[in-house]
Amino acid sequence: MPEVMKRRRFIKTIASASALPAALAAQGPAAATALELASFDEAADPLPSFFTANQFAALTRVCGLLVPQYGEMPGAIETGAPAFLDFLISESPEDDQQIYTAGLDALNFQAALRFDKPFAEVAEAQAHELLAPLRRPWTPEPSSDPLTVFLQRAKDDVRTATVNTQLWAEAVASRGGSGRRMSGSGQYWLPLD
Amino acid sequence: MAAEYDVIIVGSGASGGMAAYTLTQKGAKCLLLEAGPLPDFENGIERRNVWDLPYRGFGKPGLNPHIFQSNEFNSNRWANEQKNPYTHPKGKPFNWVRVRMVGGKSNFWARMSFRLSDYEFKGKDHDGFGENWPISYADLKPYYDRVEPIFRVTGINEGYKQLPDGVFLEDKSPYSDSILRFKSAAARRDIPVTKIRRAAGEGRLASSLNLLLPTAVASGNLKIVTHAIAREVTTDPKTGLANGVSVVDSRSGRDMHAKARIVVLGASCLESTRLLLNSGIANSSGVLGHYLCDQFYITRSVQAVVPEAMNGASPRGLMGGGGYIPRSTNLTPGKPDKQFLRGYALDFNSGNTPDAKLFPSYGEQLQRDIEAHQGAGFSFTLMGEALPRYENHARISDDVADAWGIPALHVDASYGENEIAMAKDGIDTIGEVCEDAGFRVLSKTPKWFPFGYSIHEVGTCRMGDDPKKSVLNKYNQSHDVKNLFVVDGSSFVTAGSQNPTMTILSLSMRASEYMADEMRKGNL
Repeated sequence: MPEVMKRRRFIKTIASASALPAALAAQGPAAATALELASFDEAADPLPSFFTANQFAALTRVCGLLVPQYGEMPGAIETGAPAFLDFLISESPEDDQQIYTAGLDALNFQAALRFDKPFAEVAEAQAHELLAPLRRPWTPEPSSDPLTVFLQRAKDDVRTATVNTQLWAEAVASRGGSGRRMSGSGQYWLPLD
Repeated sequence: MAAEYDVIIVGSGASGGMAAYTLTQKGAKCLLLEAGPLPDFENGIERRNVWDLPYRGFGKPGLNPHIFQSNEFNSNRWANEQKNPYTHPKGKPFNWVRVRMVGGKSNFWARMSFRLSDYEFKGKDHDGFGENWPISYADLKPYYDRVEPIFRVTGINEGYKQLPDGVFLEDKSPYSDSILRFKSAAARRDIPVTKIRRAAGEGRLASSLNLLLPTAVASGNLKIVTHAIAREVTTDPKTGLANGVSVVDSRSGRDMHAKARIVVLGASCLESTRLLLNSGIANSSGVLGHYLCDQFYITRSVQAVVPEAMNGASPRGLMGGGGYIPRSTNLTPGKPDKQFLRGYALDFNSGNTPDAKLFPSYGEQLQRDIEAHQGAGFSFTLMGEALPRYENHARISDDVADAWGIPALHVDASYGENEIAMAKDGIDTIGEVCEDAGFRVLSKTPKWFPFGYSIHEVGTCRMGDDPKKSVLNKYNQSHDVKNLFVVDGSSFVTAGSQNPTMTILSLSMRASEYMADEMRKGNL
């Protein structure tokens, strides 16, 4: 059994303990709530499956450029943003999927046209050249250019996917800031009856 | 056999809650039907880290596509759109935001508490457009005076004719220096700036749930049934009068029928309208479902920056706080000062951080831009009056029903040239005032959100003196069915630029006292 699968099964076992079968619940909740649970992100590796290999490579490069490691703050790569976005977009409505796939394809096409390489392999300066739409002033009117639409969307999504992680919160806390303030904890509404 | 009540009230939010509060104190035996459960603010909510949520705070994609207020923390509090569908024309989105639980939307509102004025109640007299309300400000003033203390509204009285004074807990907090600078620049253009008027409530909650329903229940005259979805208002075939409400238990699908002398709808503007349309009553005028209007909201319509607050150098007292800009256009009778009718209000906030999208940068440069602007932002939400127009309407869908087989609503509404001109004026004007105040304007954004985004939809059961042009009379009573009342925002004739909740509460209190008097006289 692959290591990832083993870890997932282990986590699943722990998670099921919190589901409290009737017999256990009858004993009172104290024993179950004392268990410290692991999060998926710290326990298992993602298995990206939505984007093609070329698209995912381009997305990974984009993530690294949009939110790079900055001082002691982790970047998008360190927080696993590319694989998370692969999952998020795989679950998203078709219009959102289209923004990503068309944008990543446009990025690879432009890279091949101008530098004869896929986006993931172009030099640093060339990559920044291709991200030029993000250095133009923002306007509220949506662009008709698929690459611009994608980059504007990715700028927001990659940052959110990076900031909303434990790694980021811990880095903020170690700088003397408040992890809660920067990365957010909040009042979660359980499903209504 | 179930009891027969004096009054059945459908909906437990601001309007239904106020009807229950008022009627039960007058001795009426009431049954309140609420489509959702009783929320548990103790055990139904728990603190979680965003990174422990399955979607890192993005929320499950496609879960609440029309609720821009939804996020992964609060997504369970909104009415589920898969179980409670509605339709709109392709390319004309409508955001219908619903809460199904005891207290309804009053559990989550922004608590902004303003009065309408005769610029709204007598709008036709002022500018010739549309219809007047059948009541004036003087008719509703005594009820505002009583509602505001219940909700403990904070604010200051400044004597604005377009934003009447109230019975407030005086807000003595000082303005920050950035607000004083803006206020001074606005005054040079005769644009008023005042404190936000906000319901303080009790224990950080200003809801029907804690301010109205407990009193009603304590009277011994109220029964509340949860998970009770009203299917239709039933009528006596001989008299045409309402005789009860058919209702379905949302958990089991079991159909039931409750009986009463009077039926009061306070289910929210569009749910009450849907219920009447599905019941096939109260529409001899043909205007039921029409004249849907609201305030169009443009959040962060102007984002400015206070230069002295940049790079973390803000002196103490420069930034912070907020305020409200009441309507300042077209206030002189017969002398319009703009190329559009009526007007807009704005609220503003000092000390925010501009959205990352506004910076033409990414990577390390973006991070530096964000840090440089941290807490230096000064931004405005524009709230404009959408004119009531017949063509903006809701009707029953041809082929969609909810999870209990109740026909769903089809909403067809859009903004027009008046709203577009109003928004442009508001954004341009406020941008200029910001520059006068020495702020740097980062963005002026005429970005339109879908109709309904403000969650202030009103007007689809409008009141009026003429039964051929209105659904309700001046006491929120159906022209057609005398023992049927609709006490929510659907009764509005115009939306105004002010948040509607105080007016909804006051109208409901007034209608309920009228009902109690009529019952006592034997007329109902």
